[in-house]
Amino acid sequence: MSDEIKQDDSKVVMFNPFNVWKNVYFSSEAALTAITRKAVETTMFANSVDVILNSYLQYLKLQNEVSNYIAETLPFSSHRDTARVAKMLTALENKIDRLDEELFTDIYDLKEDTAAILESIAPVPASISDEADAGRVEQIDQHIKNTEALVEKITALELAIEEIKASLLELKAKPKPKATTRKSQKTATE
Amino acid sequence: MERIFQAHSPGEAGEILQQNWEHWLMTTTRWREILTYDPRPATGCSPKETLWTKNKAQLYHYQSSSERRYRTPVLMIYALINRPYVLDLTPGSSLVEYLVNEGFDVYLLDWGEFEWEDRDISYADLVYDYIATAARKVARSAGSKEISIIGYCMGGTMSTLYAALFDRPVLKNLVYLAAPIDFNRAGTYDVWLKAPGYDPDRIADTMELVPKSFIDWGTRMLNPLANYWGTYTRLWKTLEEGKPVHFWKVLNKWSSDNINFPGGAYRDWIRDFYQGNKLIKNQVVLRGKRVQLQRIKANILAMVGLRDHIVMPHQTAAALTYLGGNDKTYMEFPVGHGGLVLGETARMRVFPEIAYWLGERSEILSED
Repeated sequence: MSDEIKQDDSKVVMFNPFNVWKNVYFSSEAALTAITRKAVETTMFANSVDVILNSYLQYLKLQNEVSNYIAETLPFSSHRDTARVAKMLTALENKIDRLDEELFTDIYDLKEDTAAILESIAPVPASISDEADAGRVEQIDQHIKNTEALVEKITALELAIEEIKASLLELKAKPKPKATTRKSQKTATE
Repeated sequence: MERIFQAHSPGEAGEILQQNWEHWLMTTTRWREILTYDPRPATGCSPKETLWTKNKAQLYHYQSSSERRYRTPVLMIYALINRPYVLDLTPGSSLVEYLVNEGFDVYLLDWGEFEWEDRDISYADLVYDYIATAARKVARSAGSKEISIIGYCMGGTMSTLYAALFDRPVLKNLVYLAAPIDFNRAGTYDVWLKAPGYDPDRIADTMELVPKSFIDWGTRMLNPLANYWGTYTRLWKTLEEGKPVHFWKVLNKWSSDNINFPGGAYRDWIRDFYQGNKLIKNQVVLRGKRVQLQRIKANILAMVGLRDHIVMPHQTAAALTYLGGNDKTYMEFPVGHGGLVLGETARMRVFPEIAYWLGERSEILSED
């Protein structure tokens, strides 16, 4: 390193090996990255990877078949059995979700229908607050009261008539005392 | 730091070199500590409640301290690769948080971790039993007859399936974040998945539940050196330059946090979408119903990253051609696949654009 040092106006100018190395390294890495990226984009790379992949899949299939056979013969639950239970739980969740959806839809439809019905059967006139309309409403109210009073009177009259009728019937039904005496007298004579 | 430095004397030059050496040693020690001991950073921190659960899936409803401004709720649908907390990564770098603060009622469907019992789950199940139910729950919870959906990556494709098959609740807005619609010319995946030796049926039949390591390998091998090695050298460089490493830690946590892929859905994804490109041909049939893209009348916002090597920009842009409806917007950003939800561009440009676009097309919540 000392041969890199030179004296100039009482100052030492020297290259920094650390930074030089760093710059060289990261430039090389960037170049290598680009090269490898190009390499993996080729069909040759894809085909060679597929050869390895397919060999691995063959091995894996064989391994799965053997381990499944062993798992089936053992008196323990396998991971397939556990998965089956988990799947049933998920299916249950699906059912609950479906019920929840149906319930919500029904409630929503019911609310909408109720609102529509209420709107159609009880229309509130927009001009109800007008004085003229308010007067009319009072008149109608008075008429209703008068009618109610009349109905009450009629009802009272009807009741009175009914009472009179009843007392008349009672009177008719009572036996005449004189006629009875005569009859009894006749009987005694005979 | 410069390649050349000046010192007043050879002794001072030696001291500077000594300091550099010590700095490198400390950096390397800290680097090793981060990779081995450091706790994983907290993610998905926005306050939320679980509105609905099904199997391992959870529907989150995000709570807001700010006033809600829009009646139309926003449902986020994430992919089946990695975890959805990338949409709510950390405070200050979260799409969820941004939208909540803008007054949206935000929901997110988290698929959970698929296990052995979920190996037969297909796209039909995911769309009918999960997304459709979640959409109804969201509309009910928000008290709205309309909803907006943000679909990220594969989540966008699944949202498309849902949108074409279901009329209620009305899908008002559909936002695509790097979501593939057209699977033709799909970059490296085009080469790999259409190779004669690649048989999704064989994979699904043998593996049944496609393990997370297999999915992780497939994603990382798109750029092997950068993902397997460059990630860690980048951390060292960040430390050496004295920059904050929190974001690296968060990103590393997310990128290595993968989930198993149900074999049934894997078969559908590769065979029908990548190999058959059936979506744009209206040939996808789920539970006997044909997915017809022209039926989708929602407003469309398609956002793409120009440097995305997982979903090419034209794959998302195809939504503008094939979907029905009249209101369609396309936006490009100079980022990669994750850059639409991660980092500076996402925070400063993508999130505001989404909020503005949705705000213009969502029902405002009246004060009464």
